[in-house]
Amino acid sequence: MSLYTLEPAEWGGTSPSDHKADSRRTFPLGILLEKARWFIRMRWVVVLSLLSFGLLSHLAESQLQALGVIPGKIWPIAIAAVLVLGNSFVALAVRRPQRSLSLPVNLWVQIILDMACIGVVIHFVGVFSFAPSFYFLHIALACIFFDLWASFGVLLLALASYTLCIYVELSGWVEPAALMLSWQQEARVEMSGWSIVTMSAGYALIMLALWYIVSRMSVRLREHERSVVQAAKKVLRLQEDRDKYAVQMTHQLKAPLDAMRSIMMLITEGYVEPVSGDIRKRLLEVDKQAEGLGELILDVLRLYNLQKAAGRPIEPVDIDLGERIRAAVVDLKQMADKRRVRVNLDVGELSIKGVPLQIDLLLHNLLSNAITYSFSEGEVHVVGGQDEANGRIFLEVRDQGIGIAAEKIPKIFEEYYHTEEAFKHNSTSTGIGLAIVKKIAETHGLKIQVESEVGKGTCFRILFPRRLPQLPPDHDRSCPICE
Amino acid sequence: MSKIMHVEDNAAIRESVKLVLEKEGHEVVSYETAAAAIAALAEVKPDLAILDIMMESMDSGLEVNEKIQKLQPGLPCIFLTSLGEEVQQIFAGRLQTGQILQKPVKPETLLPLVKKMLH
Repeated sequence: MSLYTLEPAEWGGTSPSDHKADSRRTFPLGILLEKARWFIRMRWVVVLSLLSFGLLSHLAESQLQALGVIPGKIWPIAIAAVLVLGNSFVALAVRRPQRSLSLPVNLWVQIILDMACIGVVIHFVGVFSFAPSFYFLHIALACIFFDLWASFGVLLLALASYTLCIYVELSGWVEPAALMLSWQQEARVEMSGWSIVTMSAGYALIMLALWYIVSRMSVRLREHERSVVQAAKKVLRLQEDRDKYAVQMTHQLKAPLDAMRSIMMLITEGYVEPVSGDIRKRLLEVDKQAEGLGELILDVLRLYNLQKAAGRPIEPVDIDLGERIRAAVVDLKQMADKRRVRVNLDVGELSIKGVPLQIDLLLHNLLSNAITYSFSEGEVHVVGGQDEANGRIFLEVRDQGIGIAAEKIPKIFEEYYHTEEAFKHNSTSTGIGLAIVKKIAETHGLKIQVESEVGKGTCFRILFPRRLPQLPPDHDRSCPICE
Repeated sequence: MSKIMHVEDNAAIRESVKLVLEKEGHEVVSYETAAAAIAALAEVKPDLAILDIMMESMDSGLEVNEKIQKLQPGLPCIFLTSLGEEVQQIFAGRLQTGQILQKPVKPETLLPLVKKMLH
C-alpha cells in the first residue's frame, strides 16, 4: 500500500491590480478625492501641533521663556482656527461635492490658504530659521498631484508668500519675530545688506531645485505608470481574445461531434428505419467513443478556465458539502449502475466555503474516477466528516478498483497523464480529470492524500482548510504614484 | 398538440430534435438562423421555443430570446449548448426564464422538460 500527499503550493499569483487608466496628465477626480482626505488628516496634525504650542504658551509661559522659546499665545490658535475652517470646507467638498466648490477649485483655495498660513508661521518662527522649509512639502505634493504648470504655480505662490514675508518685515510693517530668542537676535543682526538677499535667494533656489527634481520625477513616473497601465490593458484585451477563442474553438470542435451523436441517437433509439442489433451495438460503441472525445474537449476548456483563474481571487460562498456529494452521486448513478458499481455514502452535514461549480467539478471527477476504475460488482465508499485530530473537514473516496502503482501516483495529477492500466481499463480516459482536481485544490487550498494498492483499490482523501487561502497583500494604496 | 419553434444552425441536430418531438405529437417549425425565426415569430406563434445558444454570433440564442420575449412575452424557452457547465452558468446568469440543456440532447431529458414547460 503506497501513500502520496499532494499539498498545493502557497497561494501565489498577483492580485488583480486596480488599474485605472488615466490618459490625462493630472489625476482623476476619484484619486484627488482620496488625496484630499489624506490632506485633511495631515492638516489635523498641524492644527493639533499649533493648538498644543498655543496652550503650552498659556500654561507654561515662564518655563518656555527659560528654555529660550518665545511663547505664542495668539498666532498659533488663530492659524489653527483658520486651518480648521479650511479643513471643514475640504471635508464638505469631499462628503457633499454637489454643495461645495468643485474639488480642484477647492484644492487651489486650500493651497492659497496654506501659503498664507505658512507665511504667518514663518514670520513668527523666524524668516531666517528652518521655517521656510515648510514650503517644501507643499511644492513636493503639488509636483506629485498636479501637472507641471500647476505645480510651477504652487512654487510661484510659495516664493510670493516667502518674499512677502521678508518684505513686510524689512519695510517695517511688522516687527520681526522668531520662535527662539537667539533667532530673534540673529535676525536683527542679519536683517540688513547682502545677508537678506543671500538667505532668501538661497531658499528660493532650493525651492526651484526641489520643484524641478520632484516634478521631473513625477512626470517620468506618470509616463511609466501610463505605459504600465496601457500594457496591462493590452494584456487584458489579448486575454479576452484568447478566452473567446478558447470558447469558440471548443464549440467548433464539439458541435460536429454532437451532430454525429444526435444522428446515432436517432438510429439507436429507433427514430428512423430500424437497423440490425449488430449495427446498433457498434453504433453505441462509436457513440461511447464520441462521448469520451466530447468530454475531453470540454475538459480542455475546463482546465484552461481553471488555469486562467489560478492566482486570482475567488468568490467563495457557503457550501453544503454533504448535499453536493449526494447530488454528484445521483448524477453518476446511471454510470455506476452501468458498470455495476455500488456507491455507499456516509456523509453528514458538512459546511465549507468555496466556489460551488468548482467543488461540483472536483466531486464529479473524483467520484466518476472511482466508479470508472472499479471492477464490476465493486463498491465505492464515500465518507465525509470532521477530522478528530485537527478539526478539519475531510472527504474520502475509496474504491476497490485497479489501483495505482506507487511510482506512478505522483504523476497522476499531471495533464494528459494516465497509467497503462487505467487506459486498458477505460480507453476513453482523458487524463485531464485529476489535473482539474489539482487546480481546484490549489484554488481552494485543499490537501489531497492518495493511498493505493495495485489490484486492491485507491483512496483519495481531501482535507479542506479551516480558512481559504489568503490573497497576496494588495498594492500599497497609500502610495500616490502607485495609483 | 403544441407548436414548438426550434432555432439551430446545425442541420443534423435540427432534424433529430424535430423527429423526437414530432414523434411525441408536437408540431415543430425549424429555422436555421435567428433572423428567420424572429421574422416568422408573429405568424407561427409558438407555445415553446428551443434555441441554440451559439449560432452565428457567440450567444445568438440569448439575443433571439430577448427579441422573442419582447414580441411574445412569457414564451417558455429551452436553450441548447455544446459547451460545459461553466459556460452554461455564464449564460444562465443572463437568462431570466428558460432552461439550458447540453447537446447532444437525449429524448429522455428533452421530452420531460418540454412537457413540463408546456404545462
